[in-house]
Amino acid sequence: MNEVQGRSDLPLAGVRVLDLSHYVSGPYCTRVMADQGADVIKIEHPDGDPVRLWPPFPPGGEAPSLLYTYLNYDKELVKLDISTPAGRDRVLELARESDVVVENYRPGTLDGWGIGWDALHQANPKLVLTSISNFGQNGPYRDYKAWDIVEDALGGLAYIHGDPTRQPLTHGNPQAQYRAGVVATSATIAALLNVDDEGEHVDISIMECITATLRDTIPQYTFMGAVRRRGTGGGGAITRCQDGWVIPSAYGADFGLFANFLEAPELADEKFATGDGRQRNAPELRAAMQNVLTRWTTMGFFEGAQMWGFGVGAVISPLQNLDNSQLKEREFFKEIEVRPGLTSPVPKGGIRI
Amino acid sequence: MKKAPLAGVRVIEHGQLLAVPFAARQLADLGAEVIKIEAAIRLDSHRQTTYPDNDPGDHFWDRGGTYYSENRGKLGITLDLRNPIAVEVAKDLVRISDVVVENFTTRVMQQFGLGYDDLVKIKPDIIMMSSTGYGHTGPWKDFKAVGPTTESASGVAVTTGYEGSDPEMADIPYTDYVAADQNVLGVLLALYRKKRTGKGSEVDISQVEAQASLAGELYMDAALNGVSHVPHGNHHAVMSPYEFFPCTGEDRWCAIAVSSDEEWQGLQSAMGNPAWAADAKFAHLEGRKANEAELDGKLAEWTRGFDAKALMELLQSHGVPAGVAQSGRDLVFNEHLAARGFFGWLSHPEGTDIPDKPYAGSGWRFSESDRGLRRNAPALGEHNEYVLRNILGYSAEKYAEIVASGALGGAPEEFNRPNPVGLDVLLRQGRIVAHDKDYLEQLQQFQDTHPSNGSK
Repeated sequence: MNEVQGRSDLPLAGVRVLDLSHYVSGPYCTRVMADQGADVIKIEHPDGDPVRLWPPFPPGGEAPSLLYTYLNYDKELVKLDISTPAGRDRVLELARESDVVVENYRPGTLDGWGIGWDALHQANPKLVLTSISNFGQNGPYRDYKAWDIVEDALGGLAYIHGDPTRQPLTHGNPQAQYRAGVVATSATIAALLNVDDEGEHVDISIMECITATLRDTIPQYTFMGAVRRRGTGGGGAITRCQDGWVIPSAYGADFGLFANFLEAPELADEKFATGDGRQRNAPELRAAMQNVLTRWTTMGFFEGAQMWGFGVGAVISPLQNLDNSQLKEREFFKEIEVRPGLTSPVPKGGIRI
Repeated sequence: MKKAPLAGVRVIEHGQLLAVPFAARQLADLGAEVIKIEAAIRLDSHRQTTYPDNDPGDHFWDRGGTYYSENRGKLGITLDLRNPIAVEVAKDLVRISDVVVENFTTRVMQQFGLGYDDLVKIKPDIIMMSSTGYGHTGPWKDFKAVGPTTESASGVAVTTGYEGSDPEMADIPYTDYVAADQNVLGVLLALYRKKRTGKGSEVDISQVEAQASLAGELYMDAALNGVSHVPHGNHHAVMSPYEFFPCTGEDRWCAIAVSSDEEWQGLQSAMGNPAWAADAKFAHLEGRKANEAELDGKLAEWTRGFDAKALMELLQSHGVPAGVAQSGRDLVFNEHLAARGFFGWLSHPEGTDIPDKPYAGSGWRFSESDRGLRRNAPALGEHNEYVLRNILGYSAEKYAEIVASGALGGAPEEFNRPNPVGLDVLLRQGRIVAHDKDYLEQLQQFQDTHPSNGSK
């Protein structure tokens, strides 16, 4: 809560992290650790982390990408090919001075380079090694290749995401890798809390991070033998408004009051007054609601309805959120340097201590 | 084997639904002693869904499958916090605890006299984690929120959906889980800080901020390039193809993601090198992106004849990233998860008459610490006496007085017995894809042939 606290007051002050990771999951794990006070050294291959070339780019279109910058600012960068004997020796040397090593190569890769768990543990018995991989360090899928869409597929999220008459969906940005980075950070800190004379090896499977978080998807089978169909719950009724989309569903018990708020006498009809009536006349209600909402803007509807006590939602874009009074008041964004002479706001992270 | 990472840490949970109960469950998996406080007069709606064989039974509040899946490993007590004696019990628990986690709307804990300012007076180094939709401060602090509305407000939902259509969110409250994972992280960070400095802290987590933090590049793109994001389908800027492809059977799909020309050559060879795929326009990423609709169409013609799992195995054997879109049923019978022992079998509280079942693990494994599926979730008020007598050390007389005062609340008999829609009706309406009447036998049979899949 204290915005002016010194760095030494941050939770991970004094923790030394050696980051051998690339792409998104590992770098986001060490992003969070750096935000929380850890000193992070990122080892990057001389050819560069491939995510440097993933759009979007800053104005002018030059690499590194915005994703690379977001994930890796405030880390000390060392260019090194860790697959060579010289690279191996340098990694072992740095590992001796580190509390944590984070990596996300395919399982077995570090062992092949002489810097796997056994070698690192021998070099520094107290070290925590966090390995993030698509499917974990063992099992039949260990060597399978994957990106987010494949993770969402095998993890079970895609099957329940989208229109039942169309193909499943994956998220619009690399959510699976980001989330595994969060889980990896938690597991790493749990391991750090548990370091006595010996560290340990933390094994994070991106697929399992997804499978662990599907609410009733698995109990529906293990309690009832049922396989749920996509598009049959959750989500809420996303409806177009003047400049985007809102979710006008959580209006609580008093629909008449909601119609008042919307300044929509056409909704204050007897047939929509009760839950039963609204269900019976659902298509008609949806059409009427759609018509009413074209008179409302995203933020006008959302903030107005919430002020009246309706727990509605709105689909807010990043562009709109940059001006969002709530996020501004809470100073959610901070400015970082993208390149000399150019700065950008970035999210500060989800955790305030 | 080491002790569990959070062995010796006591956590008090004032949670409901998902974001905090699931976070506290993960803390229990890590070895913390979690005491879940519930109000019998305000039942958590996760206790009121997913009944065994869809039958609520008499004590329906102890038969909810979703509840069991999100609350294992905890002790459970009931307190009616409108009663001042109950508030005193809650405070006594804080005195002997390390962490309090809660997800009421902003003012509720303060109204009970259990806000952070109240708690530091009785336990100066307490860690209190509050998880709200929009945060504990700011003009939106009292706004109502549920998982879908915080996902939609986070800037992530607007990028997700079919190209040219409205945004689409998953059928689960995705952002509740994103927040739950960061609730766990917030508590662990505060515990680590306390270990180092001896200081407690207040942890304030906004679901919208938790989700927006997993989209930094979208915010930078908006700020620097003025981009207003819209749903863009499954496609990826530097991979093609990147889509779900249809397979044989009802609603069966396989994802294919080609991230290099080498993987494209692997895909060609998996297809038996058809003439159309040798066209130079598909040889490199730029050409595949420029002709993506045609490419997706051609590929779908080929995949349509395959079983999804066979297709995945064929493609992976050619070095092509691919995976079946798995249902809940696929997951519990998945060979890879079974080999890793991802599921663990747990029994249910006495008297609930629910047979043992497999439960999904958490997303982490430790080489030296156990994985934490210890016991199932408590029945409502199951540990009232144990917690008040054995943990708080109240005398038999004091316990009897508290019970008589009504501070623990009664059984939730004022709720009507739910009457869920029949599975046959759901099947007819197409809301479920299938109903395996012999699912218990199937689960047992799979367990018998996959002993690595957790112990019963």
